[in-house]
Amino acid sequence: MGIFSQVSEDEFRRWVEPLLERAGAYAFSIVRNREDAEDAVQEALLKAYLNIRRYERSRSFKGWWFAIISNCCRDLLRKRGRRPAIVAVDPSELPSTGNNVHSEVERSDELVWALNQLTPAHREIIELRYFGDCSYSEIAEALSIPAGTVMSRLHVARRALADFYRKEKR
Amino acid sequence: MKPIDPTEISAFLDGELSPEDAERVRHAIAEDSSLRCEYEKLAALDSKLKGAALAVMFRPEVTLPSRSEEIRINIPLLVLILVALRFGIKVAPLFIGSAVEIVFLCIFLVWVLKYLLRASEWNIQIQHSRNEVI
Repeated sequence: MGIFSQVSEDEFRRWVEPLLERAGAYAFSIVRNREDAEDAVQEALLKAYLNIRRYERSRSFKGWWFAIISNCCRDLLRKRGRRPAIVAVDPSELPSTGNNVHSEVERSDELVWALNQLTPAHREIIELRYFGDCSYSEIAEALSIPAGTVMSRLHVARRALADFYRKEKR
Repeated sequence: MKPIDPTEISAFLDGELSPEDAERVRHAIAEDSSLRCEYEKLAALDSKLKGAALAVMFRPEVTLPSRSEEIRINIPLLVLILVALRFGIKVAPLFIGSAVEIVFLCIFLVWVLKYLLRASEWNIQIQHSRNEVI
């Protein structure tokens, strides 16, 4: 950490390490392939490290860092002229996690279609909740919105997703 | 009893309600078939989304810059600032007078030059030199 930083390097490492897998999944859900997701997480890690003085301990570190990851992913997509969307299920792009990935992929085709029908704000909150495994307070921090808004927006997003999903299944 | 807000069913599913509110919602779901239907619909979707998220989870191989790297970058700058503050721009004449001081000045100037060169590409260095994989 910087000389004037209040967060030690060990502390930073302790905060980041348990979040890496979820950071990978969250970035993957936005940029759609592993290499880009890794690049975005690396970039976000450096940005967080270099700007740690701006982080306030009273706030959620995960929310703060995931907001940076989101920005890095969207910057990366902008540079490559792509639009953010969840199409995170090309089996060849999937990392080996020990889970039964391919069967999960097949089962989630309709879900992916339904996710892509959501508005950007609703998709973003679903990405944070499920791919980032963020709590309401962490989502509130990442999106800079009140926790009550997280609760209502997430509910609306779920209802919309359930409706899209039901239509796709018919 | 306070009526159930639909958003509370989502929050109940996520475990984000207080114990009292969670108990109230649990009771309402058990009693009211329309609420139970809504809860089951959201729970099924929740389960599918969790499965999709697990399928794409991976640990990215990222690197973290070491503390010594940054200190190496910052110390010359601090020394330069302190010397400049203490002696102003008339630093050089103070060092002229003995061979030891001239050698010291040369080392110091090389050190500053090295810092200036490194500073321009420090982001690249942080990523690629002596980093520890986390």
